[in-house]
Amino acid sequence: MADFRLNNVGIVYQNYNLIDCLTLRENILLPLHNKDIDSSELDYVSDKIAAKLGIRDILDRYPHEVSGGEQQRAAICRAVINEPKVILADEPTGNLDSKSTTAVMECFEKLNKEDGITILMVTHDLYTASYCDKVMLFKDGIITGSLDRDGMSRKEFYRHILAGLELGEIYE
Amino acid sequence: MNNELFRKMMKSNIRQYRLFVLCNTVLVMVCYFFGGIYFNNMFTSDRYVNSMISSNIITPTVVVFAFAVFFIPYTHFSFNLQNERKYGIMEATGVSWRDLWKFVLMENALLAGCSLILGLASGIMLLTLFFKVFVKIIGIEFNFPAISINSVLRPSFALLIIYILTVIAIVIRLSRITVKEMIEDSKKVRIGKSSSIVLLLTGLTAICYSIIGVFFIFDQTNTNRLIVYYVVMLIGIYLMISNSYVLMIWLKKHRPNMLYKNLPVIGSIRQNFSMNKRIIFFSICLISFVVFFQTFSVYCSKLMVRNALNDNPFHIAYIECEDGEYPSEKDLIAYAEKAGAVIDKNAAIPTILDGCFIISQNVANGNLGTDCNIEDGECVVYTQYDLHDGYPHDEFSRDKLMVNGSDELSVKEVNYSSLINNGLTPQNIIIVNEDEFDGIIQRDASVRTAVIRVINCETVSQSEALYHEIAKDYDMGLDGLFVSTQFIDMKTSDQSGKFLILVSTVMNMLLLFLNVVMIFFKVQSNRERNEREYALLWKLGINDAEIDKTRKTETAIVFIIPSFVAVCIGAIMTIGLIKISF
Repeated sequence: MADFRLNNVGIVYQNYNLIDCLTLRENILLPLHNKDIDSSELDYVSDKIAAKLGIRDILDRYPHEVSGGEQQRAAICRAVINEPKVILADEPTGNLDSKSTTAVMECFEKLNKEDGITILMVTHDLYTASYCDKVMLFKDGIITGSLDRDGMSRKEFYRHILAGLELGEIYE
Repeated sequence: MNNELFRKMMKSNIRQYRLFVLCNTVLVMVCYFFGGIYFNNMFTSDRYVNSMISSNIITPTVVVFAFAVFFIPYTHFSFNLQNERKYGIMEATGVSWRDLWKFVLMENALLAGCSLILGLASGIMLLTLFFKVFVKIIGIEFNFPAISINSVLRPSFALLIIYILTVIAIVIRLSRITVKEMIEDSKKVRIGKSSSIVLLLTGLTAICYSIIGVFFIFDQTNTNRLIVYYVVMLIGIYLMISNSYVLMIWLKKHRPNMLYKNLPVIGSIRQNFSMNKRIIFFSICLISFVVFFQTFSVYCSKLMVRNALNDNPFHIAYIECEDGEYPSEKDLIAYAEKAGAVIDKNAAIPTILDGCFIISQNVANGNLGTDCNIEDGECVVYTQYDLHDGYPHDEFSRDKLMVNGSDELSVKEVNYSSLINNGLTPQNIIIVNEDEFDGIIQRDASVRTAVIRVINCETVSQSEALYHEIAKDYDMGLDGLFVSTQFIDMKTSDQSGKFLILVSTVMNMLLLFLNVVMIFFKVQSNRERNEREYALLWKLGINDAEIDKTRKTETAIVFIIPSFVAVCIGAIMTIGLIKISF
């Protein structure tokens, strides 16, 4: 089970779950620690992913030295470092302000579009949900509806979800 | 409402209270134990207990009370730090600062009171047990009460002051920090922020200097230097611990593969080392002191017996002054027969008393085993101290000596050994030739002379029996001024050594126990954070075996290696001490 998690799934938590005693780079490289990869290669990989998510300059800082959004982006880097097929994200923007939320969701979007990684995300936030291609709504553990983006822009999809909720179509 | 809240809070803290009271009680008990002995006027009086024995209590008492000054505030502050978050939440939810202050004061006073009362009761029990049982096992007889008013009041006063100051300090601290500071997790990791390669190398140099000093420079002429080396070594260790993050930087630069492959372990060690460096350093100091003091006391006890033997070549030696009454040769033979002893050597040594003892060459060669061939105007000196007795003293450095009524005598030879029992003679014994000896007496009519009687029987026990037989009729005195016996000195030294071992063992056991308690406190306060990180590693896909390995390696590096280092430091210091004595 542990090996499966390590090699196939990347997980992003609401509270980042970075290890305090490791720098952001070390946190990102943690899933690769038992793979036989040279350190220069590891540095290259971590730099590349961090650059994509905009945290390359702060890789040698400790988690408590950076903002929540930067910590969450480091957590995302850690989740994708071992090239998983799926990322499970549990309220990834729950602790973030709107600016950081946008940054994190743009990272997810980029990973999805450029690297083809599937992201399965749980959120209570419509804005965050509007970045997704497919939204499934749950109420008390039961699926109450589903919405597809179908080429809509993010703003249009946001209004679509909102309208559905206001009309009560989804929760009825 | 608040009372109910406080009652519930106290109920939830019961487990912490138990540990707190236990370790404080043990400390207070040992304080009463050492204080009880130290402040017992009869124990410290030469009339009841030989000062050679009673002086052994001073160092352990000072160490234990010094430790109490540190440990009592430490436990109170640790205890309050663990509860600070709760206090913060209570204050934030409407409990007044006044009520909270009262609660903290009451809680700490209650804990201090319990520790004092339980410690007093158990300390008195230990003290009684010590005087009634332990010292008798060693062979020392004390004929006075084990507990006096002073032996209870003075330690109580000292401990009360420590407790009162601690509680005041806690209340002051609480009044100064804000609710936000109380609630938030302020224990953020600050890893390696002030590490410096220069300081690390300075620390390493200090350690090397101490080791070289102990093994190659340190000698008996200045034993205080050993303390200097010990302190320098501890400073070196502290500098190395404080700046150990430099090693991580080096590892990252030169062995990055190793760093990345062991990230969970190295990260965890780095954090724990950073968070616990003070306690690690303190443990090293404490354990090395314990190792040093314990081996030192065992070594000292052996040294004392050895010195008693070397310093007293004759089983019985006494001075026959001109105006005293002493048994004649004939009487001595009669006493020996009565005691069942066979006298092996019985000699009367005519001596001039002049600050030092002056003995003629023929008498010394015939009776004291010397082999002197001294010319006129020369002398041979026997100083009391053997340079290898483990005690500091100066070398005999004079070339010429002025003795009573004579010209200056040139010193032909200096011997650092005991010619006649040390307890009887002054620091120096001077041997001159017959002409010089007679000349001194003739030149100065007022010069004092005496005869030193030295007796050896076939065995020490026979000599002891003879001594007791003589003492029935003559006041031999036991104060060592006019009589010196090998067996009494050896017995006193043996008892003194055993007493030293006993008190140092009690002290060291206390220090080790409290050190373990301190580490336990620290582990407890770090446990939540560590467990959270292990859980996180598991969530990230690191398997149980690897997490277990991380946990074990971390414990080994953070606690076992420092203990090993401490034992090594203690051993180095002990070796240094032993080296100078052989």
